[in-house]
Amino acid sequence: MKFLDYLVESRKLVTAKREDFGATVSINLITNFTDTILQQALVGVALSQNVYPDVHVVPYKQYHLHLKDPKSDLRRRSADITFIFFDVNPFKDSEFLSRAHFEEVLADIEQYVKDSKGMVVVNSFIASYQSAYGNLVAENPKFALIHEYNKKLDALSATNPNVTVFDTNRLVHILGESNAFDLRGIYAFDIPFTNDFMALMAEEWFAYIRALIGGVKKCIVLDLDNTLWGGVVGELGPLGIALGPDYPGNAFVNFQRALLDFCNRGIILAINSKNNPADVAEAFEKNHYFVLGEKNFSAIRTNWDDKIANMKSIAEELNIGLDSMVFIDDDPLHRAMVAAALPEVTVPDWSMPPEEYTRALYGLNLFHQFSLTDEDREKGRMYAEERQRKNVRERAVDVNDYIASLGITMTISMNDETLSPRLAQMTQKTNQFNLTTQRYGEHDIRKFLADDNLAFSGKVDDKFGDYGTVILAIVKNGAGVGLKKDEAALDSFLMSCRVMGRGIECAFIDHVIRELHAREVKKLHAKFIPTAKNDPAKNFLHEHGFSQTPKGNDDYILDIETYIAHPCEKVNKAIIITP
Amino acid sequence: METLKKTFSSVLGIPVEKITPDLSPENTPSWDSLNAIVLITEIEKTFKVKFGYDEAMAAKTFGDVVALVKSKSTEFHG
Repeated sequence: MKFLDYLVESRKLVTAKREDFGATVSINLITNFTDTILQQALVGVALSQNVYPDVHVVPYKQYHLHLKDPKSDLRRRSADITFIFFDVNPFKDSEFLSRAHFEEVLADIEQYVKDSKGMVVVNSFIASYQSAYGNLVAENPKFALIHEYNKKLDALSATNPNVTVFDTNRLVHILGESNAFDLRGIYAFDIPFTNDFMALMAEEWFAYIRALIGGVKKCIVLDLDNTLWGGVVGELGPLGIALGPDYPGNAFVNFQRALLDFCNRGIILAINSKNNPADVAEAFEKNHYFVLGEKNFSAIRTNWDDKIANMKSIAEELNIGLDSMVFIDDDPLHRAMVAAALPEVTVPDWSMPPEEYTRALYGLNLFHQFSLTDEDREKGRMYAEERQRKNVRERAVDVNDYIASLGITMTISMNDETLSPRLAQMTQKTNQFNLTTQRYGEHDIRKFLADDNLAFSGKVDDKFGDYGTVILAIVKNGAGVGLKKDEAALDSFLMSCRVMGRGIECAFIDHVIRELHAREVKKLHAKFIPTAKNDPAKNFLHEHGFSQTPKGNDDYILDIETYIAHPCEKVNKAIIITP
Repeated sequence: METLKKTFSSVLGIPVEKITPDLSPENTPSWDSLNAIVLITEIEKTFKVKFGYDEAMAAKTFGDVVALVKSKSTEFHG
């Protein structure tokens, strides 16, 4: 969508009802320029993505006062996410050219960040490449100052887990400075940016919101002919397709290289193509210009079934929602069919020459995360291993025998602060096996631990490989949540979909309950908060000895003594647990 | 002309058929100072023209804007 589309969309806010949207996000916006248009663009992007934005804007030129005043609306308002964007440009004087002002504001931001429960995204300052110093860029004091400021922002982010720095120069670089700054706007209206820049900025910011509400995309599903290579393999043969050192084959080679980078950062790849499986297998085997191998794909559908059915079966096989999938296909008809039948799937326009593929792929800002974990980097490999496991499962007769044969081991950690980034990320990304769908940032997790609560997590592996840290329970100290001293509350219990169906959750909760028993906790309170997606977790509490309380349907309670006397029969004894 | 009307319609949130030469900030509440800026910048982008600050500010009605764009753009066909 373009700027004007977002502007039109933003007007719907007046009549929009927040309960009609998939999610509501409260946003604080702090800038040092006239930001109304930017705010409208952000509202438009959010509404177009089924998110109701509740935006608080600091009055023009009062950011430093509101940041400092603990009684300001800004400081008292608890926003899910805060965007801070201070403009310094090469063409106009700025209060930020005073180091004292910057230091003062930075200190106030740090205080704001420490008080804030939400995420804070700070835009880096835009580098001043144009000045009287011409080619001697580094001699320009403004350039050096901005460089110094940006390093301090990075330091702020490094010491505060709820702060992330948005590299504004990346955006200016993509658009080009002459398309990013609006010179008349700078002097006449104090709107330093073009509409196109603000639309792009709003999209980038929204990508953080998407990460916050668990809406990031996890999987790229690809067509083959004219998408992964040029031409039709069934007609041209494995060596006849365009894939190699010359144009257009080199455009496809580099598109594959970019996809491999996505795979290596944790985005799953899959194939959905109308082709003879034998032709495709032969191409992968015989054409040595392939960058991607079959091993990089976590699910492969090369058949003559319709692409809609294939999409559904890929989602099922990978245990991910259709709404976490992106479908890339050069054929407009197939795109239109998938988009119409499966509106949850993101289907970008892919009618373009192959030389534009890689840039278009980079330009999809659907995969933003607050940080990258080791699990992300290993995910592609893990899913590929899962495909091998499935091959074994198809041979095994009894599912319990099969699970036993996997040799699953689980290493359980309790209150390991170094795991905070991964634990926070799990709360943000897990939708299906999740009892309460509470989203937390790294700082929340650290705070829980500091406040005498318990966070259990399990790292799982089996004979095929390592799944990483995939299961989490946060148990709150009863006294801290208005319960008795010898009671506790299961605030969060969730498990990554890639290990579902192995009895891991049973073994894990069993361990948690036994640990609580050892700590002389008598009762464990829990909740199941239903969402559109967490059906797989629906019966979990009931199956593990929890009973519904008279209070309401969502509230459960477990008598720990009774559980210890009669533990859940489903606990898989074959799982080896190392605490 | 249709493109220009569409831009006005999107920015001001009024139907295309309501956009007449005498449309002005006086008879259109959504034509405020902020949307005036958006109108200028979007029209400049669409027609690949650049208005001087004074001439842009002097355009008080839709009719004025049409005349201004005509005077700047060779592509514009009224």
